[in-house]
Amino acid sequence: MAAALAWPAAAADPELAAPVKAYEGAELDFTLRCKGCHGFEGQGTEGHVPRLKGFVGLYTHLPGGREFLLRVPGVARSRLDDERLAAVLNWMIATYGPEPAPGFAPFTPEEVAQARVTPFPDPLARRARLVAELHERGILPAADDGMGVSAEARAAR
Amino acid sequence: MIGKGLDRLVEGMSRRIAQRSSRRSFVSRLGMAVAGGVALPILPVDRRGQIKMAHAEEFAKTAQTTDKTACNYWRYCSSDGYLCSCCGGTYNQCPPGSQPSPTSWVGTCINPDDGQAYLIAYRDCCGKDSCGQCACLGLEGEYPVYRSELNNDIIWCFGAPTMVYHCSSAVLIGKA
Repeated sequence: MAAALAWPAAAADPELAAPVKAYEGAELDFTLRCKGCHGFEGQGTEGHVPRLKGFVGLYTHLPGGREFLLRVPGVARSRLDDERLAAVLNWMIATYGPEPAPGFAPFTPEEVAQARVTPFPDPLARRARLVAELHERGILPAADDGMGVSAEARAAR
Repeated sequence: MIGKGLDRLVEGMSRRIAQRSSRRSFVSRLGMAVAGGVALPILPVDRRGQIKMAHAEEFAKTAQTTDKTACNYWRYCSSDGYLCSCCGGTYNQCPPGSQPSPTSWVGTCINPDDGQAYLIAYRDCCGKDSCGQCACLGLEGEYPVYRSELNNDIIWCFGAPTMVYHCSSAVLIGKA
């Protein structure tokens, strides 16, 4: 901390002259390990990586949604231990929303430990089924799949 | 879709390896991956986090904070590729004619001036032939290709208009 207050680096690197956001805890883990692909604002990468912002919390409204979040390979195969991974999942839901389903219980390290042993071998098919269910239930507009892929293009696949 | 994604991943890996590595270095790294894959499960404790910090500290020992065209500039501890600052761009901006990839590889580097760890996003600039200048090989936080999401040999041009790699930029994200 004392080293951070001494600020000689500012002269050498102009970006360090301005205040720099400090990351810690679950947000630090998420930033280091997830944001590179899911986007620094949770916006995703069109056609490649799902957006999280205003989307990821929708899974909590479906029976298989919780399991999907735990067993999707990017989560299950993470190098984070069970406790930090559970904290990241809870941070992600709280940060990106939307509001989780009534009665939603935070992820626990114990359920993370149990679920991550068997990552989904077919995450895209699993995701497609859940997104279809969100559409059927009217929770998500049909034009939106969280990946920026049109309904026509999805149907053609 | 899975096939397409896999194709792009393999294409990215192949391009990156072809553009940046000798066959000998690839074989050597592949050997490390195989050996590591066998050795890690029998380690009595998980020291991977400690090893990672040790690498960051090691890089910081010889890093400098003024010359952005040198591989030992403090931000480049995990940069694997050509420095955009040598290619008509800057350390954090793509050269004209190339586009920043929407996906990036995030690493942690220590600034030797203040001793603070910072998050750096290594954002490949894509859509133009390889720059070929100032090739650097930062390894901080990198894992062999069996953890492809943690490997920086792969071209990170996913989501960019083309997978053609030009150079790598290093964007400051925040303090770790």
